Amino acid sequence: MVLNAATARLGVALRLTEDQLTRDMLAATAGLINCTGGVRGDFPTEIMPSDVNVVTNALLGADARTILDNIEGEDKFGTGPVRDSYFALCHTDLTKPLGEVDSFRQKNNYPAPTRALRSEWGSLGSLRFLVSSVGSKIPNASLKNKTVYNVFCVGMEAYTTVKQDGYSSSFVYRSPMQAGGPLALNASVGYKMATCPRITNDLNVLRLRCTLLG
Amino acid sequence: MENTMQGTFTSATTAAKILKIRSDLDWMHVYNYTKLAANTASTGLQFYWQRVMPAGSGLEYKNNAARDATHLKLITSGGFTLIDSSVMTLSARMPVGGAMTITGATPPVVTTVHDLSVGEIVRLTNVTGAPQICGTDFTVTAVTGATNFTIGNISLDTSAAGTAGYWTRIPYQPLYYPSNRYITFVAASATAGRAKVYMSVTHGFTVGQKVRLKFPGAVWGTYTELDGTACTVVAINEARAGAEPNNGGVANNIVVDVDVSGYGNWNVFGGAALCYPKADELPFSQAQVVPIGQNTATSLAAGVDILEDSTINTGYIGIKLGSGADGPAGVANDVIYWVAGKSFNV
Repeated sequence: MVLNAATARLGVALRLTEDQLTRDMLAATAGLINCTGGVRGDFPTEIMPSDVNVVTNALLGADARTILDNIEGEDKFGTGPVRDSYFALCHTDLTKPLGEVDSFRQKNNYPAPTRALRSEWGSLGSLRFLVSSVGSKIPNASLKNKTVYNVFCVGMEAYTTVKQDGYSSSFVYRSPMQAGGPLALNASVGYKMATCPRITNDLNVLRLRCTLLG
Repeated sequence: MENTMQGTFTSATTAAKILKIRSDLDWMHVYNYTKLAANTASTGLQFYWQRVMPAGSGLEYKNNAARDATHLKLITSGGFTLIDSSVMTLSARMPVGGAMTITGATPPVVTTVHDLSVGEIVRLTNVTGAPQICGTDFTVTAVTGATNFTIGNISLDTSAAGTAGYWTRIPYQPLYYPSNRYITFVAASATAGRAKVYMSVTHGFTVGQKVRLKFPGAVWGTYTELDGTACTVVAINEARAGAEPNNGGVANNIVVDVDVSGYGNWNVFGGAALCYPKADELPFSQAQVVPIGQNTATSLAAGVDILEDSTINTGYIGIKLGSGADGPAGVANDVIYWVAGKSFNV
């Protein structure tokens, strides 16, 4: 029972670590665009539709392919069609300010909400926002000493993770008899991994930097 | 026994020494072989640290002035400090109250209370008068006492002076190499047909690497035509000239195979003199150098590894040894031996 629970937790830790490494690679190497459309006086500003247009134009101009298909409009109250879109990967802190942006469409307002991804929060223009608690942010990096959030706007196959043939990660358990120690007191359980995130087309991934409202 | 590690190094300078120890450590002994051999007076000969001791602390076996006895003493700073470079937390910004000024000059000099060293990275915020440099990281290029430091990788010739603000020490670099850098100045190289690109933080690029120049937005004037231009680094750290950023040491630039002679001087968007965008041009997106790959022909011709552009996770865990007569890293040319290990419990 304990081993099963530990295994489940280690599996989450493994995937979370992969996410964090990929996040840090994108934060270090992707080109940036600051949000400038906001009116709260910080630098960069809060995210606005005009900023989404800028980044979308940059991706389109680099022939980046969208990742998600459009969702066709249906005759349902409070819904509207959704364009084929790029991914916008961001921190969960941005959910509230995104909801306050004009023309942001929450995923429950999609004509077919079941076509939204589990981590998706909604769409704005040609970006569909996927949120994570380990999204990228830079502390004390704005004009007003606020946290700056990186929104990674990515097209198809913009980055990848390189793995060795036949090996990506493995779960290792050694019983007390194997792990050793006095009187076989100690067991050992853990995982090991080998992976390297890498941008494959630098023009198809952009880091949109923004701050929160207020 | 397999849970111990050992090594040796010679202190090259009086700066602190960082040992990267991937297997981690719970305790460490350090021996200053040079000072032991000389039986140097009033100097630390042996040091000890174990986990849970406060950062910067340790135990020191110190020779007395007569060199006939050693005494065990506690050091509370300049000792041992564990490091995990992937932990990106910042200390409180300084100074309390924002009593800080910055000259609108080349190089800009910051007057404030500080404990910074040359080579460290700072981020400025809430700068009154010169907000355009806020949020950008700068390498400290000179230090004068505890009241002035210089951010010599940028020219603020035509900027208003900063009259208040804060600085924050940035104790880490981006986790992955090569990382993008902010452009602070562009000038024609001494070699025709090439551009010299200055960056705010010590860049780390090598000859042969391919980079993309980014000049997003109208604030960058005619240089926006170069936005997205891919080019090759053909030289690094070419000597500065004219009004280019003056960091007082090795010029922090790359030379790329792009002809900027037709784009006018860097002042086309900055004002009458060579400079960075001014306060009234906020908000804008910083110009950047983005690493994208390697020009193998150039690398081979220059005798550089063709895999210099490899994406590398630079994170590490280890320990920093303080320097000086009472520091475990000793002083310049001291030969240091160390042994460290893991414990069953802490």
